[in-house]
Amino acid sequence: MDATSDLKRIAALLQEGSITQVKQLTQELLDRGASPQTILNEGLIAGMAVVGEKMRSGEMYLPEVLQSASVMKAAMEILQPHLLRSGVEPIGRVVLGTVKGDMHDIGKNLVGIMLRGAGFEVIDLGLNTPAEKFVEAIQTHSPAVVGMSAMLTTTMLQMKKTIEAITAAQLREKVKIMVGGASVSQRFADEIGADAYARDAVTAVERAQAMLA
Amino acid sequence: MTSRERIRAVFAGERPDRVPLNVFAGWNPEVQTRMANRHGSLTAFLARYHIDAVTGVLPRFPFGSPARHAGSLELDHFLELEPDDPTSPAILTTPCDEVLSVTVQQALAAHEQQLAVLCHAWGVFELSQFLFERNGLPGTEQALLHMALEPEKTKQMYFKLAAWTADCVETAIKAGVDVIELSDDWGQQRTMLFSPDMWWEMVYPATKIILDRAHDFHVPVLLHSDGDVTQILDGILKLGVSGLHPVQESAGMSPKHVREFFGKSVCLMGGLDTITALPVMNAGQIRCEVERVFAILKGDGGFIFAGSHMFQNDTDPAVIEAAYDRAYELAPY
Repeated sequence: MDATSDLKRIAALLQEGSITQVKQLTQELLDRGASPQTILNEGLIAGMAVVGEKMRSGEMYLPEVLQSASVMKAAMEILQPHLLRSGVEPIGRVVLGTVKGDMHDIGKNLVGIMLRGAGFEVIDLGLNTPAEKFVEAIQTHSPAVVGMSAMLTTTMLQMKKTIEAITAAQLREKVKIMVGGASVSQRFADEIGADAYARDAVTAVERAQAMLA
Repeated sequence: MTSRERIRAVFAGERPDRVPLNVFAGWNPEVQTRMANRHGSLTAFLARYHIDAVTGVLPRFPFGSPARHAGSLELDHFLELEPDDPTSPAILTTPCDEVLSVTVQQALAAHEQQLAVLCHAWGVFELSQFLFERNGLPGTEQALLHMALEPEKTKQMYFKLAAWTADCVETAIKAGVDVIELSDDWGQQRTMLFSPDMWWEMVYPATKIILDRAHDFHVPVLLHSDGDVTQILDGILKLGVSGLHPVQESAGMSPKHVREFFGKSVCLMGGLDTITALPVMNAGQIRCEVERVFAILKGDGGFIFAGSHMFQNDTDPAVIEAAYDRAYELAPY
């Protein structure tokens, strides 16, 4: 089978959640001299892009999406050393976190999964993240994008405080800021001075890509 | 009618004298303190605003303390563990957590005021999340992932969890609760967390065991599921539920559609959105919101006015009071 067919097969198998076969095929392609970047872009990322579309259209649900993400993660463990040796950089770095006081993480994690699936490097600060931790992460990792998630009205105001802290640290011009979560809206994003609002994980990828373009 | 009679009537498909009023499950500490300070006690608030029911909450760790749940992501580990005795009086006296702190035993004292007593029990998907709990947080991702990776073992686990909950429910019913409030969040914003096919295959059969047990004792079951569960309304009907909460409009559900789908066969509880209405509206706006909701749901019975979830800490107590005042004005049939 030629490399193009194998890459399409990786994309299809990733959607089916076939971890063993995707790992095997990834290794086979590397052994045959295929470019790790091509495997990443045309196999894994292409597959995750379809997963994202199927999730948005209601054809796939979270268990299957998480399964595909675990397949991608396993394949990336094989691919990562080769990507590093080839000097391949992620398409962008994103710092992600659920804001202070908010203990909901499924939405934020899903955004992380889809961003990684689209070729971004994601620094996940986890739950209940205070503003100063976002500031520190920007100073340490120099991300292109900062993503903040909040489910509750009680915690979404922390997004404003975090943007203020980023501005006070004179880092606001260096990053794009994206917000999302059940209680958040485009209007709220505009009010607090965020650069983008994403209503779901697939949209978050589109917004991040657009901000880097 | 007493409050208890009113609640019983609405679950029996009969038209009560007025729409019953309720809050939901528990109280966030700050709003609880503020409300108690304004009225002298939480009980005084419930009396002043004509709330018809109180809710006692069952524990949600079938295998004892959270510590026993942590440390494994393997279903085999939990399939081998022996759950706590669901017939023990401790089931009725152990608080669930700091927020859902009213036990079933404590709630039963409300019968003295002729209030109805709801027993908040945990469904199989929600319980499965607490199997994988880490640092006090539900392991939602692990629970979802296991549904895809190990469907047969997950089903086995659901049956084990359902058997435990069914026994807990029986214990609570024998102690005297009026309604079982079965909590299992199957929805998210605008869709389900997992596919309807998966729900029918894995969640439905186990959940039916719990419903059937309550029905053995002729006690109605109110199902609580956050998010949009429109896709499985037929399944919810087939389960035999007597009520559905909260019919979350802010997640994409249409109360009008749900009302038309169920008619009076399933009572709807909710109408007071704790994210998109209460924290962002003033007293005047919330009165209009309550009027809008009553116009859709009051009908000829089959409606309990209540919060869509627990009141958030940033909610102005005066707005909560305005909502319940207006609801009481609109409640009579």
